[in-house]
Amino acid sequence: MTDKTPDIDQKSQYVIELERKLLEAQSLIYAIRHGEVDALLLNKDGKVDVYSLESIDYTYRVLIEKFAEGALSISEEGLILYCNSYFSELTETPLSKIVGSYLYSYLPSKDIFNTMLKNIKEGVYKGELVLKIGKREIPVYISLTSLQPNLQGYGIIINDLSDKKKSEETILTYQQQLEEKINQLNRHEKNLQQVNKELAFQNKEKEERAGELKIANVELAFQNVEKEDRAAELITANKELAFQMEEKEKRASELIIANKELRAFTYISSHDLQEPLRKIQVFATMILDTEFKNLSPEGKHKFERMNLTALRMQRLIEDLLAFSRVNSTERVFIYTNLSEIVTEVIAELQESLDARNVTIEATELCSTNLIPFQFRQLMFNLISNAIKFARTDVAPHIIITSKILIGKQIILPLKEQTEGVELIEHEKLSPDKNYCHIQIKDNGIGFEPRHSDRIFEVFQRLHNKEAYEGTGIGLAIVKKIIENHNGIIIATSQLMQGVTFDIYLPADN
Amino acid sequence: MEDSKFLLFLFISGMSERSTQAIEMLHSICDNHLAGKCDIKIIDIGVSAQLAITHDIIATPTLLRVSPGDKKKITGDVSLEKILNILDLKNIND
Repeated sequence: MTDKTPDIDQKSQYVIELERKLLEAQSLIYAIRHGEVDALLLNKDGKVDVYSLESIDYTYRVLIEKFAEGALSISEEGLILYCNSYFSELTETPLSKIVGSYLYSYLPSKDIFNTMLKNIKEGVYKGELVLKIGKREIPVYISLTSLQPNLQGYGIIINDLSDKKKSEETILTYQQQLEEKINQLNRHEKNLQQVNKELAFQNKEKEERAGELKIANVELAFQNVEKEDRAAELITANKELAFQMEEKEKRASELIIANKELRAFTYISSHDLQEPLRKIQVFATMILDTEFKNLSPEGKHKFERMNLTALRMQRLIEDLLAFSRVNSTERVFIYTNLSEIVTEVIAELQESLDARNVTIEATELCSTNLIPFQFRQLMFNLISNAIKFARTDVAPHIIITSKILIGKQIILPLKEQTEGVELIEHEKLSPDKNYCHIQIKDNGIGFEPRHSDRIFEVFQRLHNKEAYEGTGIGLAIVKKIIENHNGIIIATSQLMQGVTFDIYLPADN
Repeated sequence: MEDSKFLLFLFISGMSERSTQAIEMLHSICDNHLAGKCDIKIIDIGVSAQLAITHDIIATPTLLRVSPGDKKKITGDVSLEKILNILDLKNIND
């Protein structure tokens, strides 16, 4: 029995094992029969084949079909064996056209496809590229996976990058715009910095200037005060001057009127005085012829003196008439040779000249426009004057010369005690005009230089009438004639050294 | 028996409805009736085909008791009865 016991134990153990295997087999058969199995595994010499029932693929199919990714499977040669509907939609190409075509026909070149295959042997190819379908270009992210060892060929997932690219482009554009703006801002900032620097510099300058200006202003303010003071003084002075001017003008107009009246008076009175004087002289001559011899010697002397006085009065009246005539007569200028006038005057005075033993030296004189009878009077007066004021110790000698000068060549001799007069005469000479310079020089008694102007004034006698006869009008007439000719006359002399008269007449052709 | 946990392998095939049902059922039963008694590993034969060969798996889903004791496997839909059977338990209170 003991032999049988282990056998029974062994057998019962074997039964349990069989039951377990039976259970496994029954569950397997039951499961297969009732469709509770989704895949079968076959072991062929260590190599596993998995046979999936259709239900397994369903989820994968849903995933692959519905997910927004293109899915392809291709053969090693690139023949498309499977394509999901998304890829068909993406490429806008019917599924039936895609399946059976070659992948590289959608790629930019076949080289890219070859590169993909080369890379895939080292693992998985992933990268971005552009698909070309017809005229459309679609940027995609593509990833290839080898299906080996189960299958020959490759699985492909394709992501559409169009939106991403667009976004990228938009971002890039924005980025570029931003960069441009940043650059602009940088430039602006630089410019601003430059401008700021310049402004800072200018500010500094301005501050410096402002400081200088402040100082200057203070000075100016001070100067202004001074100027205002001056201005006030000037205003006062101007007022005074205006007043003085007004007074002077009043005086001048009064003087003009007075002069006119005086001239009229001189002429009329001279003329009217002649008449009674002539009667006196007529009666005097009658007395001389008849009653004179009956007078006592005392009476005779007084009568002769009376007669001489009458004669002097006659001369005086004649001279006064001549002077007033010089003022009032019409001025007719004639182009005349001065030598002719001098010759005429010499002839007229011949007797006096001979009597006083006078020599007159006259060179060839110039010709100019002048009033002949006035100029004759002038020469007569000057030569008469030279004879009148001759020295007693020497014979009178008169030299008359002339030459043409330009105004600026004329240097008038400085005269003592002649404030203002010389200047006024100077102003009459134009520097560019021609002048006839006539000089009449004697060797008479002359006069003291301080009298050089006085001698031309009416009734100004330097000597008493007993020593030298004359009315004191002669040189006044000379002066007046020269003024009528727009010329000037200057007398220079030293006592006992003779007189030199310099006459400057405008010399017109 | 209660000293060591059961180690269970569930062989499935991808994401098929049957496989996912099997995973759900196994987890549900283990968590509700055998809390803390089981370690479960899910094996996809598409990924680990070699492990399926090693354990002589013929079809999926198949539940395999790896340890303790002898190996034991049941194919088909997972149910409480099948789990008790594979764990050699008479009822859930054992």
